Amino acid sequence: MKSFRDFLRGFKPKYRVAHDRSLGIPTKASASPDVVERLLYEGYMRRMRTTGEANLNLDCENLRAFPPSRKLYVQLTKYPQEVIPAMDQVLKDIMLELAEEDQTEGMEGMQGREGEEEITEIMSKVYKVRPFGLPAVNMRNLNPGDTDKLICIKGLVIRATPVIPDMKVAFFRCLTCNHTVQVEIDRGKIDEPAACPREVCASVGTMSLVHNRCEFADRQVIRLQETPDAVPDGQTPHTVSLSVYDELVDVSKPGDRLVVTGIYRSVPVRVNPRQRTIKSLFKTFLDVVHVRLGQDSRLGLDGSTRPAGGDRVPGVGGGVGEEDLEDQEEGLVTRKAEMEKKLKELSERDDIYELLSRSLAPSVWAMDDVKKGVLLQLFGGTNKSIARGGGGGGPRYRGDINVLLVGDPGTSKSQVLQYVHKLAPRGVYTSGKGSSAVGLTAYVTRDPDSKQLVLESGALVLSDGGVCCIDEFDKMSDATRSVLHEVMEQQTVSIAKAGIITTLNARTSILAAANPVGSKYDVNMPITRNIDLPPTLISRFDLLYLVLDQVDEAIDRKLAQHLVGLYLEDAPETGGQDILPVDELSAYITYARSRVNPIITEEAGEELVLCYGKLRRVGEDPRSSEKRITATTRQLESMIRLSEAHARMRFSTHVELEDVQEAYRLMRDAIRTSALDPMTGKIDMGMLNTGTGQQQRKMREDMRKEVMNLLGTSGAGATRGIRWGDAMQQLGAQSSIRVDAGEFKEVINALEAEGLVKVVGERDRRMIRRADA
Amino acid sequence: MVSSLLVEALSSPTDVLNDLYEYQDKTALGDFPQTVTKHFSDIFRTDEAFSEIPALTTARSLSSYRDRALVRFRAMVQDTSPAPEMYLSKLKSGKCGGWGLFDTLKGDGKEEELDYADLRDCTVAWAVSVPGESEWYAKSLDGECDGTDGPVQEPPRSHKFPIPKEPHIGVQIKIYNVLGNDTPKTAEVLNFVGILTSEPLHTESDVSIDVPTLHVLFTRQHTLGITSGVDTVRVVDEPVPNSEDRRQDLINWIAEEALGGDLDAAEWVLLTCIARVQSRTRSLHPPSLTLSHFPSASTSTSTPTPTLSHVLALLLPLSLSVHLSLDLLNRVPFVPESKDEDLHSGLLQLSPGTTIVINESGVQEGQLIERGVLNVLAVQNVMTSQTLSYKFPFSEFSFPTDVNFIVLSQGSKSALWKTDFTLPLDSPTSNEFYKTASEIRLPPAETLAAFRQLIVSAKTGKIEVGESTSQHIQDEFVQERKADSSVSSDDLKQAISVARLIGLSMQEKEVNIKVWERAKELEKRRKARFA
Repeated sequence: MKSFRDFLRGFKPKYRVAHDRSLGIPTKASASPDVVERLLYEGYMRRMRTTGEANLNLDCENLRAFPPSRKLYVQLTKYPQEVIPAMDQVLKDIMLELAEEDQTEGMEGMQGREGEEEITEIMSKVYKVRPFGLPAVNMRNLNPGDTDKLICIKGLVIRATPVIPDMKVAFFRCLTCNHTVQVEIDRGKIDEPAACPREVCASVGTMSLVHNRCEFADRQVIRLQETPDAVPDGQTPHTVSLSVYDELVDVSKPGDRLVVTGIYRSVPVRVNPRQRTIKSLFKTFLDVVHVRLGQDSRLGLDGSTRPAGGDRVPGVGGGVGEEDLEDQEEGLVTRKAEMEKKLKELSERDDIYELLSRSLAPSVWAMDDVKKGVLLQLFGGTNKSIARGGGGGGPRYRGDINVLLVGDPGTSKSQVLQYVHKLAPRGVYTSGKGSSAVGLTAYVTRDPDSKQLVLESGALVLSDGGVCCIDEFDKMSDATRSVLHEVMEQQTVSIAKAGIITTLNARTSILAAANPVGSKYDVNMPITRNIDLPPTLISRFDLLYLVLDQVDEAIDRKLAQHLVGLYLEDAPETGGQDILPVDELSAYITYARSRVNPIITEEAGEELVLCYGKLRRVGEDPRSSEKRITATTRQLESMIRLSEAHARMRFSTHVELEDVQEAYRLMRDAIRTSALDPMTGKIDMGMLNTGTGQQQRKMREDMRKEVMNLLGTSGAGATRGIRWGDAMQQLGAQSSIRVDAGEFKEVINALEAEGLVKVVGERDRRMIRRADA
Repeated sequence: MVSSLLVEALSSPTDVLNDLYEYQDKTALGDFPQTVTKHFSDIFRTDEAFSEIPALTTARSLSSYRDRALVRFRAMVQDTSPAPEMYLSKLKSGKCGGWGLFDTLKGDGKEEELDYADLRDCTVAWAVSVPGESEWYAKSLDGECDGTDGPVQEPPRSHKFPIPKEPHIGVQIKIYNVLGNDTPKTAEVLNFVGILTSEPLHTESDVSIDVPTLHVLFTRQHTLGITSGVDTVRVVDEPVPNSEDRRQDLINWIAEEALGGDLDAAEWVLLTCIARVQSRTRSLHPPSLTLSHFPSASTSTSTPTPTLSHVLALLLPLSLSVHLSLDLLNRVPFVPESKDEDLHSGLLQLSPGTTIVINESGVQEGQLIERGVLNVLAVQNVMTSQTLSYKFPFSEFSFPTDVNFIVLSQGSKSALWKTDFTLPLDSPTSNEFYKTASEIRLPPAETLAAFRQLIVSAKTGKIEVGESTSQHIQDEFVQERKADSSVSSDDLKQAISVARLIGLSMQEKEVNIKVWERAKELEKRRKARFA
């Protein structure tokens, strides 16, 4: 154990650096020499003393890096059962030693009485070394050879038992002479003394257990399941049992990803607890010594949507606080450094924007702008909150970009969605047809075990901090869709059901795809007539793309070639050679989302204002005085988000001119396709916001006047009213354009609501009458 | 020599195992499982020898097998999630451990020392009879069963079988070989040969129940085909000279018996049945078919199973008929789900190559609860992407499937699903559609065998699109787009896949222009029916 003593007293970060280099792992261009030269673990131990922490996390990689303790690493992994308690002892000794040294040196807080107290406290404590940092192995590869070895596995917690008191020391008392005996647990068993050990008494079978004098430890059994990425093709995931003790109890909850270090055990199974026979079948489990809540880079969520300070700090034993965490991460960081460098290099490419958009759903043809829009959605704007507002939190501004694709069937919309779902952090895919309101929001159910009401979250809540892809958006029921109103602007889901009233966070971007009414897009009708969606909802999308199926010989030929190619035996071309594979693209996006939070520069700000002005003026017609709304503040907000996303994509810390210009271009193009009034050829945002365009509003006004005229003038009409059909016909005769039945109905309804006319009768027999007649 | 080995292995596999262990080089005990596998698979290498092994079938009750009898079991792997199990590879007596051989220790206080170095692990899985397997197919592989027909008791853990209330066998499988990448995959069909015993279920829960357990000696790949086992088919490798005629006969027969004489419908059914997943990466999936205006069963007929299901059961090795109702949708799980760490099966957990006929006629007005909605969604997902998501706590795992769908709908299209093709039936004379199995006029045995052979070879066949044909197809597509802008790329995709299937059913090696034209014709006639 001398080597461990040397290690604790002598390890310096420089050894680790040298070690990593020898293994060819890129290291952090390290810091000043005094950082490298400082005695790492002495520092940790001092901190443990001041914070009163009793656990020391030990990175096994450091053991290996320190030449004198290299052998110890092997011993630790092979015989953890013997080595770890010995290490605990050494740790305590050194803690004392260190405290005494500090006392003699007269360090602050260690003088005189204070120091004495510290030392007695150390004496009374049980110190524990918690090793970690072994290379993780796959659960499947655990075999009998690993029994009683120290191993490390990763997985997902699926179940955790309540805390179980685990007897450590049993207390027996003789029923005849009241002699007491304490028996310690030995390899999971306690031997009940057969007879009273006192020679005078020595009666057989009189020892009885006194429960409240036994010593217990907290124990919890956790079931850990393989994560999807570790499971081989076509296999169902395996699970292992973990036994966690004391401080580690309740550190993790079902649903957490863990990296666990522990001792692998196999114990014989007792077939029937009442019989004392043991079949040579075995149960295996892991006695856990160290737990770390894992972060999976692919599933990484948007950090800014989480409360500051992280979800739960692994109460493992910090004792060593941040620096330790940093240290833990260091190993990962060095391994990730390479990836990071690669990503950075990528981000410096001039054509990164094109490259990324090309890599998005490479099997889908063309649709460049759509891909660009979706790409920016993946990056997302920054979430802003008024932090200095009351109570720290303050309201939060949405940074998520919502995109709606509308288009003819068979234009690969779904493919784009599927692809994004695979790519996005916490992507959730749902089809409007199949999702009830429950599936999209949350659902109150009774837990089968506890018989208590619990909230089960649906797609939207699940994708909190990610992207929720909704296909067949138009086929969704109205009730479900109405939930989205709240989600898309407030980013919460409110529930009031079965006595549970709560608001859940659903900070998600929405990527939706919808088919036009009558499945084919009618270019002669405004978009609101083409999509059967309430305008209030449409306006909540930052970008709205029309994907139309147009006939073009060159494109058709290429398309046919592409499709026939699929059936030939050769590998099909994937639309360009230079594309990023999915995992790289995903890593790029995750990295950008987690690390880059661009700030808008002054120059960009001015440009934003300018572009907004431009956008607002698009619909202006110098010849007429009427005002057409082409952009509202919603569009300005969208533009800000888009420019932020674009800057993020470049890994730029500032939003610059080019970002704004690209955002403006995307906005303008999207608006041009979607908000164009087919009657006038002008852009009219009002159409998207309220569902009726300027032109339409004017038409209604005219029609209304005419209807009143009709009712006023025609002799019969004035008294008996006029038939619905006749009124339509007469209007049609007067007007140069066709009178739309729907429009007509709208007008009559409005008149009726104002109390000017009355409608009597049913269907074809409907009569319109003046109310005062 | 060989035959004595065979007899010995059949009568007392345990003794053979012990003998093998005796002779095994004691320094290489780690290789013992391989030795066992090699020894037994060598003995039963030929098909004749293989068919000597008694098969586990539903026709015989499990209790009628001797304890530790050698059996074979053609099974679908249902669940591979149980953790590997540890066993002592060497018993106290120095004898062989594993394969259900173990010491019973008397743990009376002083525990005998276990040598942990002798621990080995074995893979544990749960396997069930292949769901939807046709009677004739099972017979051709397992032979006629001289059934000592006991009362078929409800098998334990019936939630592990996809089809509710269907007689089946479910056993725990223990594989002692180190498998590496060859571990059985879920929904895969394999022939397991091993020793049948009864052992407690390997789980984490404290209550243990005894389940039939098969200690596998060796496994054998199962390929869909009528080649192995008893030959009911004499025309196996004979190149079919009149395949064109035979194909037509087959279509005629299907049309006559099951579809009221509608030839086109019969052809579409045939094409749907022989389709399979071509490429997952390029998402070339088998097309799904809806037969619309399918008459609903008149209330007087007691059997709601359409004749088509019976006919397909006679023709296809694997088929399943689902009589859909709201109750079924809301109650029966379609998707496998892991509850309390036990993977419950779902209706859609089917082995590759199964054809499923869904009859919508039983669906009444009413409400779909959440499970119903999810079930509908799951079916749609399998149709379009041929993947099935198994539900696990906190995660879902997608597994590839290869299942063909035929939906029978009363309306003009399927009420619940979007299928690739919809074909309205031509002559809805209702009495013909719901005959019982016994009412079907069977063709002569040789013809029926030839039909089956045709379908199996079409299903397993390969076909390419020729260079000139592909050029022709491209040109035609461009022209069509010019003439009619509503033609979309999906139409082209569908047309090519239909052409492939027609080519396969005609036993062609390449899609030529003739086949292509035929496909166009068929498609045109289908579209004409909507007019």
